[in-house]
Amino acid sequence: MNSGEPISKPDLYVLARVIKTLKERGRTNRTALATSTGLSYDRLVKYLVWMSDKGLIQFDSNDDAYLTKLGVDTYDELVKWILQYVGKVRFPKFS
Amino acid sequence: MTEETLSGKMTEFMTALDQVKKYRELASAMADFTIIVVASVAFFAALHIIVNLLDVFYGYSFIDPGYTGVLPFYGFVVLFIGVLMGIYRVQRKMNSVRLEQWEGTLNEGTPGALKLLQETQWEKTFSDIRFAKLGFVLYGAVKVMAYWMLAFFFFGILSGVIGNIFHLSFDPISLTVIPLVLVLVLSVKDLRYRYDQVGRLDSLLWELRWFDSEFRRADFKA
Repeated sequence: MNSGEPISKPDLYVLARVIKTLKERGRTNRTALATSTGLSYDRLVKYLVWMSDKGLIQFDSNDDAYLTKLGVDTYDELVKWILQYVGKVRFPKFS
Repeated sequence: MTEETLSGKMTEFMTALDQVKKYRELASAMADFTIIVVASVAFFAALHIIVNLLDVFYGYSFIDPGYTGVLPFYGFVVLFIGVLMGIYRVQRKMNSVRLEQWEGTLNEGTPGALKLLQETQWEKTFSDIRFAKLGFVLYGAVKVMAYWMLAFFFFGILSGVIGNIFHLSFDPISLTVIPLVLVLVLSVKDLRYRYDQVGRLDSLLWELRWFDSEFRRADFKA
């Protein structure tokens, strides 16, 4: 796997996009994943390596990526995490 | 707490920011409004001065004395057109603000929400809210003053008519104060609306300041 320089701090937006795509499409090969997430292949591979190291995804025998339970939970946690902050803001209603 | 809840909350968030963008534009359009109104007053004043100077140079009434009484009416018309043009300019500028450009990004769901939050320029947003508040108040004040001037001219014409028919005259203070009171009474609704909106902008500023400081400090652990 060509990973180049590893990711030290991932962009949450990219991470969320990859997880969401995998959640919606299930097992997906890297090229299709790069296309549907709009990432360059090299960048996607770096993210997949990082996610695999964290246990968010795994690869099957065809080298297709799929989400682990931790990956699904992480996405749900991410939604809750944002809501924890955005949810507390009381936006005034402008008429 | 689902992705739909997040999307709904983000829609509220971005709609509030859109409103700030619109009011920010109002603040910058206020300068245009003031310039147009002041220019129309200056135009009328210049016209008046020229007529007076011509009177002085020629030593007799340059304009037929019968027409000099009509000058305030022209002043009213010039100012009226100026105010209308100013309001039209403000409305056009406010309507030119492009809203809901975030919709496509938000349709991505959680990733879109994250992107919008990451891309929000907080310091600029805070400064826009402050500017919008100031503009909102000043625009209201300038508008009242413009209406006051209009009412002053109108009342001047009216007092001339009343004076000719009923032989009644108004002192200069009444001529100035009555139109102001009239305009203030008629603008109460608008002034209250402005007061409420400024309060809302203020509370939005506090809420976003809290959010920015909390969200910036927070770190999501994957």
